[in-house]
Amino acid sequence: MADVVLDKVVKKFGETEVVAGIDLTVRDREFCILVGPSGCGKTTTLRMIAGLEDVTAGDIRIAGETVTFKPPRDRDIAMVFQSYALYPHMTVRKNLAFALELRRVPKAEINKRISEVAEIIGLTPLLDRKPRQLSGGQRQRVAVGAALVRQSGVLLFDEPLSNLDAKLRVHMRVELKRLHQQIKSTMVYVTHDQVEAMTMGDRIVIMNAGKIIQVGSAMEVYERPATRFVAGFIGTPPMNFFEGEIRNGGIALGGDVQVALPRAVEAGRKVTLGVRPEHISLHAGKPHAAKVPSTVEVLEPLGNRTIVTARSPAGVLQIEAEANPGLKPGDAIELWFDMSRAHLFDQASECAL
Amino acid sequence: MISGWRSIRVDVAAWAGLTPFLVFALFPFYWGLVTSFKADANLYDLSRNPLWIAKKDSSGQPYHKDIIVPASYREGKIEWKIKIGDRVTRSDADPNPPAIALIDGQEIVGPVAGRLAKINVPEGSTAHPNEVVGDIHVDNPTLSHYEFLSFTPFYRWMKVSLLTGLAVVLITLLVAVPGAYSLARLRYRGNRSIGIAIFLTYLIPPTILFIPFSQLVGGLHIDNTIWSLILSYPTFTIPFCTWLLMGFFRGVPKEIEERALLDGATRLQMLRKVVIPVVLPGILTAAIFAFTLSFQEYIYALTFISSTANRTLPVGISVEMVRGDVYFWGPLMASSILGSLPVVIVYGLSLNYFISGMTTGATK
Repeated sequence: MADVVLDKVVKKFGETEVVAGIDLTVRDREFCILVGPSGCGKTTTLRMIAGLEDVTAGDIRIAGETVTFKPPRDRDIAMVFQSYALYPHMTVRKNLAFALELRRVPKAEINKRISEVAEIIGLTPLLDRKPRQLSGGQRQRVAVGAALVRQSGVLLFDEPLSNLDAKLRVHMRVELKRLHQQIKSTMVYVTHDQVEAMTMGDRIVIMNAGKIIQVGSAMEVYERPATRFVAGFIGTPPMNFFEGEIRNGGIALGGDVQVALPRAVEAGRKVTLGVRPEHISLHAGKPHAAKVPSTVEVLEPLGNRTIVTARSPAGVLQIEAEANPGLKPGDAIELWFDMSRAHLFDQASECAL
Repeated sequence: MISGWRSIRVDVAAWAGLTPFLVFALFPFYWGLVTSFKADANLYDLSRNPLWIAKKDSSGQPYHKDIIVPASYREGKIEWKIKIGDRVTRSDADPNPPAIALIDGQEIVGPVAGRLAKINVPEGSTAHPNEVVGDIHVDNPTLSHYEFLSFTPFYRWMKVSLLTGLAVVLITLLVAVPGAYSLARLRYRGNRSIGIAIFLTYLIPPTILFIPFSQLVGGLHIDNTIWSLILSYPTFTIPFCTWLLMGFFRGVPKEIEERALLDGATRLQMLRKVVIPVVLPGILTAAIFAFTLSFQEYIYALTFISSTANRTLPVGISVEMVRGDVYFWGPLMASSILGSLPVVIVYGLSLNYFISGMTTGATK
């Protein structure tokens, strides 16, 4: 059992509050992702779990034991750093063995664990090389391997894939996910990349400005974003937002566009309408579809679909259309918002309605 | 192919640019080396190529030196101890020089190293004071200046300099390595101002400090001992090396320190097993600088040490090998060349480390 509990954890650097009292329980063997824009406090949170940053207030418990004031070495934690943090003067084998030697693990056991881990992540032919003789992807794997040999209860990842090129990143994403299914550690993974967050984790913790905004599975945060921030952060291309006011059982958007609402909201309320690009269609036909006249501005063909950027009286918006929509810039079109999938946020509080 | 030619052109341009620097830097060594093998007579003979060792003098004869009976000697029958063609050794520093001839029991010793070329006053004839009794063909090139050194405290000075250098390196590293680490990495009250203060102490020139220092050295009763130097040199090597090492420690990625802590290391283990091995090139660079700075130091060594035997090499050479206005050019240059060897060897052995150390420090 290695669950991680953050209890009203606060971190201040001088007067600046970086983490503003967060509560979070990462369950045993869970793959938990902390995601948010840079400066949201996710890395600081991870470093507090590791013991690399002092906690200003609150408690951290790992496997039921309070570790708030314990040094990193007493926390049963391994960490993969963004920059890999390999010891440059040691071979890969020494890099893997270092932590075990410090903990006086018997030699035979060390060798056994190293060969196991090297086999799992394909390091066996590289064991006697120095880090500078390795490619970026290989270094990444050594960093992961060095964390794995520890067989610690908790594995922390600090944006481990951000230094890799796009193709390798996709590959490593799958590898890490497969790894999580093989090993028994609880994983806490920090990233600013919402695609990584969506694809890898059991649960996603979305942070902004030092606070946890929403916790849930990928589909939960995608389909039921708690705030406008989450709605805009999760999903590519991002959700389209329109400011408006509830009037006559619908929403009056800018430029005299009025769309009907399938549900009742009190009249006069200032709201933000959020519609995902895939929920806007070029064709009428669905129930609860609202018509918005627009002009095509930019077409971005992606092969299997085309992203269309269009200008409507209510504002610029992006839609996902089929591969060959038969449009060209300047065309006047009618867009149909699927209002049954649309999101409403209160303008003042930004919370979902 | 084009890129190949381009790279050759770049090489040629680089060498053309660097050659003047190389010549400029190496010329003093060359001059010292050539001078240390020249016979004294050749030193001032500008009619021959002064850049190289001339075999003959301006009259086309090998360099020679007259053997003159000292003016204070009694006249008497000469008894030659060597034959024409025999070696004459330089005897000006030898306390018991071998005689080349006796005049009524008074010894004539060799003035320079060379071979006996001519006998003017044959065996058994009477020789008078101030008379030229013979002629020596002077060795040119000659090793006599190097032989001369073994009759001076040269090797003793060398030992003092080396011992001082090594002790200073040790003390410097013991203080500068932890000091630089703490200034570079740990956050505490005033670490910035301490860093600046250390830098400022390095800026105070020894020419200002040597007077108060000699008071201190006298007060501690270590004047005229090697300890006065071992304790005073760190006052400039420690600030210098601390600043040098701070750059290296800053270049160590913080993450590998943090990983070591997570891996189960204490702060000391982390320093010993991770940080220090990573900055080893920097530590070596600092050690070399500390050694060189103390090996070439002059003013403290001149003022704190007054006995010939305890002098350091630079002071010993300049004080003992210049008598009044007489410069012993050959031995001066021979000892300079030999004296630079330890530094050359240290640099040579660690050149690769040294260069990687300098570049790491520069880019990070």
